[in-house]
Amino acid sequence: MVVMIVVSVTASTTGLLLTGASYTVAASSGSLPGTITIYSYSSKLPLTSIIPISLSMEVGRLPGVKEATPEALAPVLVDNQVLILRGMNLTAFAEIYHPLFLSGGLGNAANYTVFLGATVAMQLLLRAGSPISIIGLMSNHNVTMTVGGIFRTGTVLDDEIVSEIQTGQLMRGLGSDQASLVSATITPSSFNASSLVNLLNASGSQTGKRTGYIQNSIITSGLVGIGSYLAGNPSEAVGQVLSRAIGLSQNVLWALVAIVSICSVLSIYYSVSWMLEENSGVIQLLNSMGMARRGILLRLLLLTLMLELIATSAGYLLALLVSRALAAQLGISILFHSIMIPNSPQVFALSVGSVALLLTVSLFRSGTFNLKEGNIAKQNFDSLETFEDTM
Amino acid sequence: MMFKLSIGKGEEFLNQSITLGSIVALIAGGLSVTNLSTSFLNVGTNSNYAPLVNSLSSELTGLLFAWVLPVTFLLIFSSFILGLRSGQLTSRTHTILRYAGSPAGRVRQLMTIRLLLLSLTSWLFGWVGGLIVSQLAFRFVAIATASPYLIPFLSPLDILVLALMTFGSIFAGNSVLFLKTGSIIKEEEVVSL
Amino acid sequence: MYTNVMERVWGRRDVLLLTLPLLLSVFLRTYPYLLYRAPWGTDGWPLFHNTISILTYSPTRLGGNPAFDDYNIYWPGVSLFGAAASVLTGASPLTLMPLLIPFVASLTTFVIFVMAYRLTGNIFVASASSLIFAASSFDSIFTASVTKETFAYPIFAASLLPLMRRFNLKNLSAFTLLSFGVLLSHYALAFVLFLVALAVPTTGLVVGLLPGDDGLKRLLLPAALGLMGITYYLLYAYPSVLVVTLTTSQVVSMAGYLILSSGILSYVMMTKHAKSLDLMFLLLVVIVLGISTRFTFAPFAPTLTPGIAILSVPYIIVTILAMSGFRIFPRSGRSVFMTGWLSVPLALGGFALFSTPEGIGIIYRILTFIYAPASVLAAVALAGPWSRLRRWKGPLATVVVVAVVLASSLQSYDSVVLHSNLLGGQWAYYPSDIQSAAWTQSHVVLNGSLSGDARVSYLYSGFDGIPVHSSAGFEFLTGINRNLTYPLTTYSLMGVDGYDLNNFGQPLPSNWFSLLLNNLSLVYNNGNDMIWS
Repeated sequence: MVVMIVVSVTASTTGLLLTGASYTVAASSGSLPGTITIYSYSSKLPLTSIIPISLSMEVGRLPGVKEATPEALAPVLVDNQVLILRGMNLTAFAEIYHPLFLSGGLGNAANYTVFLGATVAMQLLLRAGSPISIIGLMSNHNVTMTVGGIFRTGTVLDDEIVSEIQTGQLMRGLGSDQASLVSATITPSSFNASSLVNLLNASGSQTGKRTGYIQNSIITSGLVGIGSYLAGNPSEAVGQVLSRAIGLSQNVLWALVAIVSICSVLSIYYSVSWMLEENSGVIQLLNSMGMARRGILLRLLLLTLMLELIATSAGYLLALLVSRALAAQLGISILFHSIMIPNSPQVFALSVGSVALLLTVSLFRSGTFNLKEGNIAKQNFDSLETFEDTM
Repeated sequence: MMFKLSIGKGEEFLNQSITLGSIVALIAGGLSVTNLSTSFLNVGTNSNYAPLVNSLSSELTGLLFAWVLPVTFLLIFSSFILGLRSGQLTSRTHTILRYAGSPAGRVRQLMTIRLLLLSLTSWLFGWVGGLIVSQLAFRFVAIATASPYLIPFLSPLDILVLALMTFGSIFAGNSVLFLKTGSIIKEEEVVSL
Repeated sequence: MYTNVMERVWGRRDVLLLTLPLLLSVFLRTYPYLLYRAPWGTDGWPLFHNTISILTYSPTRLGGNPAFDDYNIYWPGVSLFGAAASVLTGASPLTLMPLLIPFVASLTTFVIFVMAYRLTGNIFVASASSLIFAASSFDSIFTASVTKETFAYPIFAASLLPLMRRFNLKNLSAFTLLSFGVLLSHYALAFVLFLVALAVPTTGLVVGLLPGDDGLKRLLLPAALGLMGITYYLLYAYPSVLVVTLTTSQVVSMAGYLILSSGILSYVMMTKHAKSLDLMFLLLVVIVLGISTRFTFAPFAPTLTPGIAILSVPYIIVTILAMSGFRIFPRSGRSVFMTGWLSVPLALGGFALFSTPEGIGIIYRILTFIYAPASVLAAVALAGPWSRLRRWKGPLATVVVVAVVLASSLQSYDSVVLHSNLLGGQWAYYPSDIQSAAWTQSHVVLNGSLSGDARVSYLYSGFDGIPVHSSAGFEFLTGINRNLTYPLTTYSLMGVDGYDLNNFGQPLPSNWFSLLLNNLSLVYNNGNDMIWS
């Protein structure tokens, strides 16, 4: 049982770290549920996208769109640490993300003022009113600004620096008419995806096909290519974002988790065959007392699967705790954002399923079942009589 | 003769080597893929992007380290289980040797040799298997996904680190058995006196 | 059972069994030159240049002398041999070497015969294995050309003979002498020989089939070669531009493949278990071949045509037989030798395919090294038990050998006569090519350059010292860049095989010739070669 727990911890940790990394990559756009992000089709990630800023005004005029704000994302260097600076309209920032200010506030907003996520502030040991020197890695601009406040949103923005959009454009090396992405908050009941489709088809450079009818749910829960843009919610379309970013589908990541499970199989196989060897006397006794081979097999299988379910559940929970603890202690980050380790039913299912499969195979292959069907008892008694005669 | 006594049943020894080697192979595969990613990131960047690249590299390294920790624990635990099993199998041999007059140190020597051989074979199977499987896998995946042909690799330092991990884990996993064998030997010495 | 070749009493049948493979080997390797009356193959031109320079300037310094190139002269075995032969016979290197060097290469077949006989004591096995090897297309086509490897390979094969025997001073001396010959001729072959010499005793010691002291003493052979190699390199060859260099990570990878292949072969040799490993290996080979017909499997590799994939069938048959033969081979010191001999090129093949981006240049040469032991093992399988078909063993084995030999030999015809692109068809040179190169040398301005493909480059640059730009010509003919800075040399074979870049011809547009006619002036035309300006 302990072996199963340990194997389950390993497999689950692998799965959780991989899914956590995937989710973090996808969530790095900052999209919340109920929002749509629009960025360039030709870019691998929202971080590297460039689109016209005028698109946000056009999107804002669409029916069902509550708010549309352009954002300029820039990787910057602060105190030898690479962070993301998100330039956006600060009013929209307050309305979309509902930040809780731990110190300072948006009232301090002025030229050369930035706002730090709580995680960043802790790493850099800065507080409201402190000066902060920022170097734009893609623009080579070097500015010294003032920390206007420290906020917490419970999103990836806690790992970022937020400023007015002009600062973001400067640090990213964009023109005043450019942005990285447009973030739009929608009212699902009155939003119609077709209006967005028509707008995006008509605007931008005509690089490809005109997209036809799209359902609302597809845009809010996935990513769709429309004209020269990608629109949707990257946080909900982890697989698609990952595929675009690193060319690997989520299936490959699940295959990696399966491989880890399979490489652990020999430990399970060894333990199972040892367990059967230890208990072979009991099994032989049951067989000789008349229990059929199939019955013994089924009972053993049932017992081990029950134990397996308990063990892998415990293993998964332990893996979740361990992964989150490791992520926090080691400061693991993905694309400059602290890794998020979500509870993943798929990882749990894969862990349980793969260990169960390996157990079943191990049980059948261990070869301890040199058991005979039929009238074993009589045969054994016969041999006992012969033994007595010899004596 | 000493080797044969240490190894015991060859098939059993081989099974244990392969079992532990497969876990080492996991770690080796992870290391080789991370080396590939970090080297991919480090190619052709100018000084502006150096902090960006270094940051991405250290993210990957951190992720790998977080993953290697539970796998190392699995390696230690598996070697503990296997050690218990091999202790069962070799205890008869050790007992016979003791009663035949071999000193206690000789028995410990046999155990040490066995662990060294087990560590060596597991390490060999592990890094060779992990490296080659990751190279094959990457090639087939690259063809399937029409991606550039990237080749995972291990440096001599990685091999050394794997050796330290493997030897350390296997000895750690078998330390309980080692101590237990020592105390049994002492008990027998008392009885014989 | 195992007898020395020299101790056998030779009957007429035995002489025939020896002579047939030799004749086939000599024929396949010399007929390309006899057919075209010009050297076959591209790599020979710098060697001819070096040989002629040796004859012209002797006595002279070799390395670091501008009269020679900066690569081949550091491995001067073939050039020195060619020069000596030229002096002895009075013939010029350009007419003598294209016949002599392939003839020398054909002697490898004799060495394979001796090795197979020594290993099995069966003359039919020896004959069959040497026939199979002699006919192999990747060896016969390549060694029909004058290259360092062509000259070094029979010496390499002969160097393996001492590895089969127990250690004594005679064997050590023989190995040292022969391996020095390999070292002088080709650094890569010396490296492979070193690995084989190391693999044999190491495997033997690990599996316990070689007595401890003999196994340890046998390590002196690779030690001797290693010492010679390092000394040679440090004293003489260090300025050489090496075509193949390895990073530390690649050395680690290579070591991994060597350990894996030796380990698996040793396991199979000792236990005869795990038949699934044979199936997995065969499956891998078939999958790689299959994928290669649709995609480039390795960097710079060609996509194979289905026809080429079908041409590999005789080699797959030999592979299957070799796997069976390896299992039949009795467990002994000789099986340890076979394991070492086979595991090294298999490992290098795996390394070349999966572990290095420059592998394609290595892989097609490694096939020869794999095929030599494979042909011996295949012959062993054919002479094996054949429990159910014992009555038909002789005729069936003969049919299989004849089929494999015929199919392999036809590939040589395909390459040499039909100029098949992926089989080295563009390696055919004509006397007119040499004439055009000579004309260009006498008419081109000092320090002037040409455009042309690799086939042109080897001749013009390697032999006559005229710089040739390969990519410029390709870009012009394919329309990538219509500005042609240097005169372009074309030849009639380009209409068949395309533009030779990176070991094989790249297809040209159908109107490439009319493009030349419409845009450039024809400066020279000898009916085969044309120079455009």
